[in-house]
Amino acid sequence: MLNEFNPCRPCWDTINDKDDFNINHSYKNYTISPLETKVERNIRTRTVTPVVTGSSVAAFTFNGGVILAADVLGSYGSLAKYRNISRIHQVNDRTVLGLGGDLSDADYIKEAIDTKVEQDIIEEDGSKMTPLALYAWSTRLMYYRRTQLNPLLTNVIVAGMENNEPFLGRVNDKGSAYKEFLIITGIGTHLAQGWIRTILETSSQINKQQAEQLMDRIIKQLYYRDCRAFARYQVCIVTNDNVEFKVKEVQPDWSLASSLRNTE
Amino acid sequence: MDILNPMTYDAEEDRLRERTKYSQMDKHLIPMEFQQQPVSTGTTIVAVEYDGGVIIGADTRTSSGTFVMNRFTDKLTPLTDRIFCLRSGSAADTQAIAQVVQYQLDFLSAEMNEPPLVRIAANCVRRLIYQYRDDFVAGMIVAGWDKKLGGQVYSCPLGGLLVRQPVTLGGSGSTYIWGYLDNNYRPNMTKQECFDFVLKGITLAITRDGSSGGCARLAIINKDGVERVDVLGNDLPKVFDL
Repeated sequence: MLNEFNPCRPCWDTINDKDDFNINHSYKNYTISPLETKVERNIRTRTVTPVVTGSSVAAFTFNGGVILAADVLGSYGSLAKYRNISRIHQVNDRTVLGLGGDLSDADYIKEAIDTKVEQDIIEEDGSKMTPLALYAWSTRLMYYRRTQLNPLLTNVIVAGMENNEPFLGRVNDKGSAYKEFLIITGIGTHLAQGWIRTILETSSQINKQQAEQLMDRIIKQLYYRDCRAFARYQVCIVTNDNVEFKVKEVQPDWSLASSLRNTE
Repeated sequence: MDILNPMTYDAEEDRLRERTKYSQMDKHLIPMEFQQQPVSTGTTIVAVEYDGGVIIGADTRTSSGTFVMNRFTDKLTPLTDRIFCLRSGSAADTQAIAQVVQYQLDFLSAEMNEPPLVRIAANCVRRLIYQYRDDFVAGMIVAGWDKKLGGQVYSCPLGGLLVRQPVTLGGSGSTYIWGYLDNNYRPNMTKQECFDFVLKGITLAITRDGSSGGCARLAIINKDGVERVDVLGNDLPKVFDL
């Protein structure tokens, strides 16, 4: 009788024929298991909300390479809990990955890609992961998880050198992917993408030093206006020669504070 | 539960968020990123009493969800010459309360022909919060100096309580520095020790809380007047950061 007992169902307002000892025994008291798909059964195990999150990642191409920057913070809601997490992951000597959003899903993606890279090394057929291949593979992965209604709540930025040309693309948690010369994820899209795009479109090819300065300006702007930003950040520059990582600290300008006393 | 506003363990933020549901249809019509988040002085405020006055301090960030609306906010609002209030919770509600209480105290000081007592100012704030307790989301600290009792700090939290304390914290960032307070506060500290205590507390909270940030604004209130100090973001004391 255990499979008929449903503690969630009130028993005072149902006709309880079971106690009538077979007189007019009614089958309507039997619980009927609802029709459910594998998705609904799995609903309890999927990632519903991101827990430890990384904020924005900014990236753009310049003359001769790609530059990415992301701060080193993992936020636990509004708490700045993990203050030394690297969100830019080097895949091989010409591809890097920038990750924002849920960081445990980001780790899953990093592991999956590292496994693929190891497979390539083992097979020893001389093929190496290119940014375009990684971009396509990430799109498939993110979209597959989306169709299972169990998304990886991360934004993936794939950057690198493809045939000696700079490559930059983004895949989001829904599996929507695009390639561009400027990609910013997270709240940075609202804070920085517009004016940076204007700058990049109207200026001719910028060189590596100008790109670094522009990136510092972007991160500073995000630090001013994003509640979940952090002063320490990591910059990654990919060129034909190498992949370079730097850790920098934002130099904010607070000089307006004294003149804005007694304002709300 | 939603992606842009994951869990917070702060009564003010939670109440603000559930109160600001202007229209149930907004949820269905507008994507999450464009839904308006309440503007809160999600904040860190600290007030300490010392022999001869009080020292108050706050950070300078007003946020709307994860967007920083104002990075130079002044949360130290004067109610009278020698009484200040520190605002946390909804920016609109606390500004309105401060404005009304400023008027009430101004009128009172004309009637009584002397500056109002700090307890009276705190009571005005508390009465407003209590009367509209289901509508307001305002956690305020009223601190100042008066002739009768010297330096006093009164806490007027969300529900409309009034309680005098030698030291008190408020705002979302305060959760991260209760331990610091318990460990580092001693009664009868000197003025400089209190100042350092307040500044360090705000710095620690700014470092950890996403809704607090920017500079630290402090004020020293005693019988001679109010001395305002702004410690810019780069000049905050160094704390362990890894």
